[in-house]
Amino acid sequence: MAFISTAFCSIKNLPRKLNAFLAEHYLRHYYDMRLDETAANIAYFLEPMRQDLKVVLEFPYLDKVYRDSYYTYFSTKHKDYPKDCIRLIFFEPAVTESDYGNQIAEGKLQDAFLGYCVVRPLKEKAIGRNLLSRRALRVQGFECCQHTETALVGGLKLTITGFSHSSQDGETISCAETTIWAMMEYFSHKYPEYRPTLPSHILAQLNPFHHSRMLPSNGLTIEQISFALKQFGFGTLTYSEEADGDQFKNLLHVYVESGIPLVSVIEDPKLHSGHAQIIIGRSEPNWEKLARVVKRAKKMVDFAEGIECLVFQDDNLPPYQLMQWDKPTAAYAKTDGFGGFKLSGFVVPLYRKVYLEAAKAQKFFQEAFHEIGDKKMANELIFRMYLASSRSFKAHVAAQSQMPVELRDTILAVSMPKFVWCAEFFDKDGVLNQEPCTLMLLDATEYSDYWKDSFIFAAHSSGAQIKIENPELIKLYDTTVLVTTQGLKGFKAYSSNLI
Amino acid sequence: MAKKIKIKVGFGEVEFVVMPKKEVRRMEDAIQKRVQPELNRLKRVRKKAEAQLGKVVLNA
Repeated sequence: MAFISTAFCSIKNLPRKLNAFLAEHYLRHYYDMRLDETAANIAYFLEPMRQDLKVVLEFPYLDKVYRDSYYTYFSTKHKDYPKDCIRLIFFEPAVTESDYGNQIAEGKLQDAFLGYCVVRPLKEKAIGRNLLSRRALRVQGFECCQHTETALVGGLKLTITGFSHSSQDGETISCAETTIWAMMEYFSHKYPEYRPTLPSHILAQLNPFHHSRMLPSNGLTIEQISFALKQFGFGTLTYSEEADGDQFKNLLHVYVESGIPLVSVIEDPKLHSGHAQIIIGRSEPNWEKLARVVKRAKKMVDFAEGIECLVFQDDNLPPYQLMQWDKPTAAYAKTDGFGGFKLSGFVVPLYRKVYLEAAKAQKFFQEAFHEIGDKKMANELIFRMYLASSRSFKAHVAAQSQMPVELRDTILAVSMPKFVWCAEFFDKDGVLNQEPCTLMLLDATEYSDYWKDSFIFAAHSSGAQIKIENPELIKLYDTTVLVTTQGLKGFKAYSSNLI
Repeated sequence: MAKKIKIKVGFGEVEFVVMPKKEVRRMEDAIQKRVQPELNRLKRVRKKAEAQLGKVVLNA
């Protein structure tokens, strides 16, 4: 048994302190680890972070992901690999050495806790599992999928919110496995339907269907990623730029707007090489740009036009990279050889009971608008579409104090499935206030090709059509659609999918 | 003449106009007519997307 050793420093002094830590704790492996590469790895990871942070270094740290790789693979080699990791813990600058592990300062530590990063004892790809708060970054102005987890820090259980990230180790996990792992970290912490996974679990799911060895990892195909996610409980769908054509960009943004992390596939056809990333969010919408665009638009404009960048988790880069959707390798150095990579498709891990897919729902909404909405405005509108849980959507509606009370109460009283497709149509006046002039909802659990089967309600400036399948109503009036006389007013664009 | 009815919503009552069956049918048929030609194409697109991307090895 040994004591856990800790060290405290500013982020600027971290490389020097870490070198000393590596030399002290990995003495026997020190030469093999090639300190220069490890230091370069760490420096690259720290580059997008705020430079005023405080850091605690901790050794030994038992990391569940590295230990899984260690027992499945590294321990089976002749060479001796360490099984313990170093953990870096990040805090706001106000934290002092005496606060760390001090129960009296627990509140202060919780407020100042900005996440952790595991340093693996591998000569390449030292950055292991990490979860950082967006507050630790210099770049702000984006919204993304995030989950909350608890970390034991100096004997105190502190919570941290972010999206998990790890670099690939190149032997047990490539970009494909890292992507599946990070997806499951997010979903398992967020929803009780899913469980976290480890590299060996991913291999176990795929091994029976793989015709050759899976370790060392040679990557996975999109089919295999999709299959693994299906085994973990999702109803996956694949979209490709070639097949979806003009709609590809819009569909990509629909799922981003829905708060679903996506496996994005980037390819270089000349090199016959592919890479997987996760798209977890987007930059804050540029409503002013949308208002300018809609004024001179000759057709309905997609909300994607107001999004400058998407947020990527890439296992070759530090977390939370903001890049344009059609330049998904812009953050790479020119010498990395990723210049020719383009986004060719993405996989959506949908909740398995969402049967109505985005392209069909989009068609339903846009064509229904011509009948239900104001026809004169069809060319001067912004169209925004997203998937929402009816729980969150109703909570958002309930908070709309400026909405007509009867319409608000009616929407809250409508029986809805667990997930609904929502469409918001903004006219040129409403876009700056972020208030749609038309709102429509479809049942996401309905697969039927008949629009009327998935229709729930449509609210616009002069009223709202609502489908109520009440036997009494059908018996008396032979209809299921009621119209309210109160129009849609004071409804703020839904914003609970991304935080 | 549009029929007005009051329905209990939550703990209160809301007045609705009953949309005539004929009008509902017309609306539903008009939307369906616009949507229908696209639906089969969308199914083919999904299959094509799976086939195109499926075999790409991701390991860079």
